[in-house]
Amino acid sequence: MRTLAPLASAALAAAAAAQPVPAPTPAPPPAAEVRQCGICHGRREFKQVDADGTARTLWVDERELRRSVHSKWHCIDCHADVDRIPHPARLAKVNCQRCHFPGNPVGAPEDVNYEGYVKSVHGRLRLAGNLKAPACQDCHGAHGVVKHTDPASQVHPTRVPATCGRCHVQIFAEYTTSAHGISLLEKGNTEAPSCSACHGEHGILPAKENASAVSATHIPETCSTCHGMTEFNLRYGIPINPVRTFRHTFHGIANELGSARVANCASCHTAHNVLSASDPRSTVNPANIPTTCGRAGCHPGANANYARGRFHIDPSSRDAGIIYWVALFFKILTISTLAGLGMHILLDLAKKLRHRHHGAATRD
Amino acid sequence: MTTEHRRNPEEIQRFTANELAQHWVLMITLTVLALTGLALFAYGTWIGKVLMAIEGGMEARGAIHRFFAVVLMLLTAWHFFYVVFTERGHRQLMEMLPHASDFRGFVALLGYYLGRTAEPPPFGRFTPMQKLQYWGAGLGSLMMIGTGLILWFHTQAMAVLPKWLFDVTTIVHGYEGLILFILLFGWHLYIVHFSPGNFPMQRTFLSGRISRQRLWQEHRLEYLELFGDRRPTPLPGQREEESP
Repeated sequence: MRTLAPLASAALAAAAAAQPVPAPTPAPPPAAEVRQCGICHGRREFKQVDADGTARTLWVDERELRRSVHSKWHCIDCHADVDRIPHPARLAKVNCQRCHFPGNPVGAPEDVNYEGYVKSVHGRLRLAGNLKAPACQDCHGAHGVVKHTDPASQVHPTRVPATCGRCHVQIFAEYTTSAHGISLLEKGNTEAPSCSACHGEHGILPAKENASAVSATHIPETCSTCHGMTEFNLRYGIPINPVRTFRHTFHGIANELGSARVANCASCHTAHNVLSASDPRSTVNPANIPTTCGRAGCHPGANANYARGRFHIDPSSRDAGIIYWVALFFKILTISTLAGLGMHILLDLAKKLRHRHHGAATRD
Repeated sequence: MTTEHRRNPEEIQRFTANELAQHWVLMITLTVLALTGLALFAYGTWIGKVLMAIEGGMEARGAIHRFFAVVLMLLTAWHFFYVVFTERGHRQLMEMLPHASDFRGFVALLGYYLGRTAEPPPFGRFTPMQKLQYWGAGLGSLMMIGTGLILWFHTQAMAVLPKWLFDVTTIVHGYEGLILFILLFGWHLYIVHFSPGNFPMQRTFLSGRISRQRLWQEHRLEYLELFGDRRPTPLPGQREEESP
C-alpha cells in the first residue's frame, strides 16, 4: 500500500516547509489503482443506507475526477486513511490542508485564506464540532473541484449564490428576486454582487460582529465598493452618489462614528432584497417609505409625509430642487455677511490705527 | 476690579445686574451651542471632526446641544418678560428699536472712516452696530429655536411636515447658525475686544459701567441728554478713548 510521505498535517507541514522535502511528482494514477477503488465506487448504484433509512450515494464519477484540478492525484492522496481494501465504513473527512498551506512543496495553490476560515463563523462552528457548518469541500466541491474562474466551479461568482443557498435557503430566495440577484443570475452580469462580494469569502463573520464587512458600521464602506463610484452609479441609472450623500446626513455621520442605532444602507434598502425604488415591491418605493421608516422603532408613526421629498440629497446639486436654492441663498447670505462685517472691521481698524499714528494731539 | 470701577466718579452705570446676567447666560449658551453645532455642520472638515471628538461623539454632542438649547429657550422667555413687563426693560427695548436715522448714522460713519468727515456721527444709547448685533442675535436665536425644535422632535414634526420641508429646516438651521457665529464670534468680539482702544476688552460687560469719556465718544446723544453740553475731562493718566 502506498503512503503519501511528507504531508501529514498542516503543523507537520510547516516544519516540512523549512527543510526541503522531495516533492512527490504527480503522475497519472495507474489505471489499476483507480480500477481498484472503482470496483466499488465506480458503480452508479453503490450507496450506503444509514440507520434512519436514508441512502447516501458512494459513487464517484470518474469523468468528474478527470476534469478536476486534482485529476493527476490518486484517491488515497486525499483519502489518506485508506490503508487496506475493503476500508472501514466511515472514512475521515478529507483535509485539504494536507496540501493547501503556504510554502507547500507540491505546488498546490497556497491557502492563505485558511486562517480567515478558522476565524470565520463557518470555521468556528465547524471546529466546535458542528458538522452542518461548511468545510472546504462543501463550497468548493469534492471530486469535481475546478478553478473558481471556471464557470463550472461551485464558487464561480454566478454559482456562489446557489452554493450558499444550499444552506441559506430563505436568503437565497430573497436574493434571486433582488436587483443584484436578477442582474447576476439572470443577466449573467458578473459586476453584480454575489454573496461573497459583500460578505467576503473565507473570513465571513456574523453581521452582529463589528469586524464583519456587513456590520452596521461597515455596510456603507462595503456598498461603496461599487456604489461609491459615480461612474458606476450612472451606468445603472442611479443619478446621485448614494454613499457620499448618505455620509452627510445625520444617519451617515452617526453611523461613521460607530452608532449601530441609526439607519445604514441595509436598514432601508434591506440586505438581500435590494430593489430599484421604482419597483413597487421595493422597501424604498414611495408607497413603502412610511413602513420602512417606521420599522424597528426608528420613527414610530411615520406616514406619507416621509415620502414627500427626495432622499440622498446633495444640496450643492440642482437636482436637489428647493433644497439647492435654499442652500444657495444661505451660502450667498453667509458670504455677504462675512464680506460686509469684514469690510467694517477693516475700515474701523484702518481709521483707528491711522489716528493712533498721527497722535491724539491732532484731534481737537 | 469692578469695585474699583464702581468707586470711580467718572463712570456711570450703563447696565443693571439683571442685564449683565442675561448677557453672561447668552454668552455661555451661544458659545456651547455654536461649538456643538459646528461639530455636526462642519463634520466634513477637520474642524468638525476635532470638535466632534472633543465633545464625546454624536450622542454626547447632541445631549449637550439640546441641554443648552433649553437654557437658551429659558433665557429667551426671561428676556421677553424683561423687555415687556419691566419698566426698565421696556425702555431698553424702545431704545433698541431700529430707525431710519440708524441707517443714516451708519452711512455717516462710513464717510468718517473714509475721511469725508473729521468727526464720527453722534449716536444714541445704542449705536446702529449694537442694534444690528442685538436684533441679529435675538431674531437669529428665535429662528434657531424654531428650526431646532423641528430637528429635535423630528419624528413628531415629520408626521405633519413633508420631508422636503424638514430638509430645508436642516439647511436653514445649519447656515443660520453659521451666520450667527460669524456675527457674534467674528464681528461682536472684534468690536468689544480687538478694535483699537478696546484691547484686551471693553469692561462694560463685567461691571455694567462706562466712563463718561467713552460715553461722550461713542454715545454722544445719550451723553448730551444726561450731562448737557459739558465735556468730560479725562482723568489724569487716562488715555483718551477711541471712537466707535
